[in-house]
Amino acid sequence: MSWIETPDSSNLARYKYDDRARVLTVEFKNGGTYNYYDVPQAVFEQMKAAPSKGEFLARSIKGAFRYARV
Amino acid sequence: MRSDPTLIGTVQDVAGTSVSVSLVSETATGLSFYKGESYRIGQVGSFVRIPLGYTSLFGIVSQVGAGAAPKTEGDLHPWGNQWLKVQLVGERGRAGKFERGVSQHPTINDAVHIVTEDDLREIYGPGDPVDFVTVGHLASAESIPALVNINKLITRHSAVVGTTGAGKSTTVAGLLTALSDPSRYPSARIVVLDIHGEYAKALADRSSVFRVSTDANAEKGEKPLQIPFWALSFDELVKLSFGDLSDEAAAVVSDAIVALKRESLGNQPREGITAARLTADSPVPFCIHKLWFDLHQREHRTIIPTPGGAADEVESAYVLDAAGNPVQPGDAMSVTPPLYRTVKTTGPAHERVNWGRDPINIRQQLAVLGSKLRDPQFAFLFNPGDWRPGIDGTVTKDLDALLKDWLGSPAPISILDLSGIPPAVLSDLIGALLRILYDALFWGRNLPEGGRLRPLMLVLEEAHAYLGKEHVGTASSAVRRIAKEGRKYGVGVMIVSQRPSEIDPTILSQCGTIFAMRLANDIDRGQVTGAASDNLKGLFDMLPILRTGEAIIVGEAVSLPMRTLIDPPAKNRWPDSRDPNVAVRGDATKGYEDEGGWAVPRQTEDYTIVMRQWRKQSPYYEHKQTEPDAPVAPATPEGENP
Repeated sequence: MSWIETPDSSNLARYKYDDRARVLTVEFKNGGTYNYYDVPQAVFEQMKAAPSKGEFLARSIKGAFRYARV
Repeated sequence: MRSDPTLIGTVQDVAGTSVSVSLVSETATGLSFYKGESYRIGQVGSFVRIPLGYTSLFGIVSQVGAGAAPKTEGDLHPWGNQWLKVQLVGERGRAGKFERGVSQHPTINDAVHIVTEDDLREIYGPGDPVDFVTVGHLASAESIPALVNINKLITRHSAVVGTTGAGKSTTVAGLLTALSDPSRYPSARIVVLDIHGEYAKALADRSSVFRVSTDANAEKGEKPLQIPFWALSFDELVKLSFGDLSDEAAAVVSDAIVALKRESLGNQPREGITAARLTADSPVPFCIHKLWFDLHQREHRTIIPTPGGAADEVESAYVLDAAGNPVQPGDAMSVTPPLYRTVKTTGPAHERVNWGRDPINIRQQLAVLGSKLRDPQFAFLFNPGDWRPGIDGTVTKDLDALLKDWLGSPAPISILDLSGIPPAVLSDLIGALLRILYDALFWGRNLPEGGRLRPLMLVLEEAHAYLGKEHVGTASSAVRRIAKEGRKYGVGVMIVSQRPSEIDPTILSQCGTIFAMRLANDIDRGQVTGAASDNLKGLFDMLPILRTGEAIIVGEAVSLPMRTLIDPPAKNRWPDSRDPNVAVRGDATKGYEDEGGWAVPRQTEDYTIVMRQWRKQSPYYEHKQTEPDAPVAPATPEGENP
């Protein structure tokens, strides 16, 4: 489980996924880091494939999974 | 055209440290060029140089003005009389080294020059680079680093003041980052008293974090903060445990504590102290539960009088069950009081029950202590893990382990996160903490572990909360002591506050270096201006208009007052004091800059989790994982029909 950097994204700095705990961790460029819980592996794979991570996060993860600030 | 582009005017009038300068007419544009750099002339707060033979005097522009425009045509001064008021601050002698104070004064018609970047570099430049740490760069010249003398900064104490939102926490984080640079200062030693739990994230890779909390986040390498009550002095302990005690009661309690400490010392001897030299202040463990139990017994006990028996041969009048055994004989460690029968002084002799002997009338205080011993919020103090004495006063770990954690951890910075401490005891507790740290470094002053050989910087966040004028608490007296004599033993404080006017002036005036950030409040500004050792009112007039992250550094650690932009730490390492975004920028197609805010649809909210965190007294969310196979239904935003 290591960070995936997203230099092309305008909002996201990097993200990582813990497949055992099924936690997606996203770090924003402005410093905020959040854990999204119970994210299925498939959604993470989709995110990796998505051309715009910010859009994918806003459309498919935001509001769908419980999150907490880290 | 002027022959010298740096010339701006001539001295007209000298009064003490204040010099009036008449500007030469060519400076009317307000701009001058020298070596490809442009300089604005007559900026308040900028420097000027007045050469006097081999020495140069330096001053700060405090006021700028112009006389009335000339009436006749062909006047010598077509733009009117433009003038500057300059406060002299120092001089550069023959040796080329800048020093504070002036040995001579300028006279009429002496030339006044702008101070070029080369001059600035010389003024602010280091004598020896090891002594100086770069905290940012000059606000007026980005290429010049702002250098601060680390020796003076730490041993002569410092203060960081500024309104909320002026960038105080970020500045402190920036300063601490610079001071703990492992390549320059591998043995830096900084203890941060973090009232709001802001710094753990900002200094993550350079600090050990100690947190008062039931679930210190072990995953992040955080340790629980334990402050064993027996490390406190008698007065500190009484304040934190009993509250107020009358002199008579205090004497009795003190005797009882000494007796318990002596007993503990017998069970577990310690080097450096003998029973004969033991006082109630000695840092020797004792069982406070036993103290409570013994005193409770003395206060509440009822006895069955034995006619003809000696005064000390008495039998406690426990409430007995059918078999004749006490219903509740009490237990010290679980803080259970014994149950006694009520007093009965009439009736047949064998039914009589009297009060016990010598009560000291501290029932109320004992009840307070009893409830604190049971209170999990006070566990860090009265039940401090390995430092909790057993009933015989023996402990698993001694204070050296504690000091090693706080002062000798591998990381240069120790953050003592006090955010979980009951506010009522905050001042007393901080006082006790500071005293423990100071005493350790004071008595170890000739050792490599001590303060003289490895100085300590104490960062006191939100100092107005416990160092106020009206607080006569132990925190003020501890800080006052460190401020006055800490210099000799290598203990320096950095006071951080948004309300300098609420801080005891005797403490603030001991701070040799002041980082003054934006301060709008008049009273606060007056306090800072008064406390600064430089009498440079002109510079402090700028306090309300400083930019965020900009500070005026004055005092012993800098050769001249300087307006500095402090280097902030990297954005993802900012302290946790950032204001929340009410409206987060972005939209669903581009994504959002951050999570949450009013501008995005709501999550399905679950306040049972909020209650769980509240009851746990922990901000760290622990997720209860749902079954991996369970279908994850996308939550529907509230108030919206699917």
